[in-house]
Amino acid sequence: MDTLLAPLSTEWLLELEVFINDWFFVLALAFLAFEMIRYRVFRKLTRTLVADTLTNYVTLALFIGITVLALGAFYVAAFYFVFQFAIFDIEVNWLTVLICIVLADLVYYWEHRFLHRVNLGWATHSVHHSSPFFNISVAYRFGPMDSFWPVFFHLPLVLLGFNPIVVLFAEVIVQVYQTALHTEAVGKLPRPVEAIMNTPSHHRVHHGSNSEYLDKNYGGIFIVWDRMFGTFEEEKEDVTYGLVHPINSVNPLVAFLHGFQRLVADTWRMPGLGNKIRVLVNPPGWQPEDKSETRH
Amino acid sequence: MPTTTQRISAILASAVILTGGAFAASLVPSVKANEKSTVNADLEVTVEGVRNGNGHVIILIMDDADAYNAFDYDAAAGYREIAAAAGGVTATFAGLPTGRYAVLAFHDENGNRDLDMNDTIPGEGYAVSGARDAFDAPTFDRASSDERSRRVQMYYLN
Repeated sequence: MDTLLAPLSTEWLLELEVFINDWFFVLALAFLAFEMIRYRVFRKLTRTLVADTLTNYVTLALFIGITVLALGAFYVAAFYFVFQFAIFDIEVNWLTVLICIVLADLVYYWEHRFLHRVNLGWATHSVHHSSPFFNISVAYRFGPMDSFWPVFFHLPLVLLGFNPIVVLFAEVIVQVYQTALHTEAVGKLPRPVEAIMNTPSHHRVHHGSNSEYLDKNYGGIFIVWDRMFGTFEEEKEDVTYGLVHPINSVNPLVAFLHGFQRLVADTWRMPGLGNKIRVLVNPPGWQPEDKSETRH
Repeated sequence: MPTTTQRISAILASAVILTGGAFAASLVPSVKANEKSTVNADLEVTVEGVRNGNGHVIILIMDDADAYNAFDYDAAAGYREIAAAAGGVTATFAGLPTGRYAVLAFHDENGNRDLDMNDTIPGEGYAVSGARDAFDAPTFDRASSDERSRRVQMYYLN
């Protein structure tokens, strides 16, 4: 109990966060090598697959560039600004960090659901879903604004009183956990695990473009949020990965920008200013209900 | 596809979980520094380079910058007189609270319990933790450490 309650320094927590993030990246590369051998064994190792994998890392580099140059500063500024108004006074120790991780996972559920169900979010998050493959490199396939939306969803945790560095640490733990789920090499885990935790099986469903798999399994670490909130789907039929409208390209720039390109095109086509605004905040595929109103 | 009612109740449930979780976290205490300090540990000081066995080696430990700067015996966190022995002596300060301590020592060869001075130069051997050489006068920050086993070097200028 003393270990759980011993005060943690936030500087140390920040170092640990960087350590986990960096070494997980190295482990993921090693796991990718294993997955490539696996593809080879199943005679699925194609040029498109290799090109798509490289594209994933190019989008990662672009994403990191944007985060470092612009969004990172916004993130830190927003967190420390809001932290002044913290509601509760929360100590920093392992127990409160664990609580924060669970809450950050719930917050991530909503962030993720938003990214799928609101076109402004989908424009950036659809990059992650635009790969027709499913291996650990896809976890590193990011869109241009992928570090923008999380700020707003995690600010409530800071406002509630969790230290910004603890929230950042919790975000990274959720992210790293979910990264590990991007694989076809792991089947279903024991039932109690599949019941509570997010697993490769649940996350394959999330990446499916099969109609019954669309907009399902948003959870990060725990799948219980999806079970509670009615967005859970079990993996039954084989998963067809990727988008309902595939990008059919391995060009990194096409992959990185297609979401915004599509959103701009959709908005442009929408009749009337009201609809142009409404399409931004509605789910993908949204159309005005009454097209006749624009004739006036 | 979730209904609007489902959506609203899901958002409300989430808000309750978040607020409740943060409130619960605010009730979690940290083991306070002064509570931790009740778990006292010993501090072992070794003075090296004692040149002979005359008199005593007097060792002071300071947990306070002012006491350290003033060389104030009365404000020392610990005081030991150890019979001098050529080579080195060791003293153990039992059950000290956690914290940073600076070590001061001198070789009281004539037994007057004072560091004799020849003008501004010490006339007896002296030692300060963190000192790099005989003429180094480290600040308390540099002289102090939370390590529980300390070595200091005795210097003689005469």
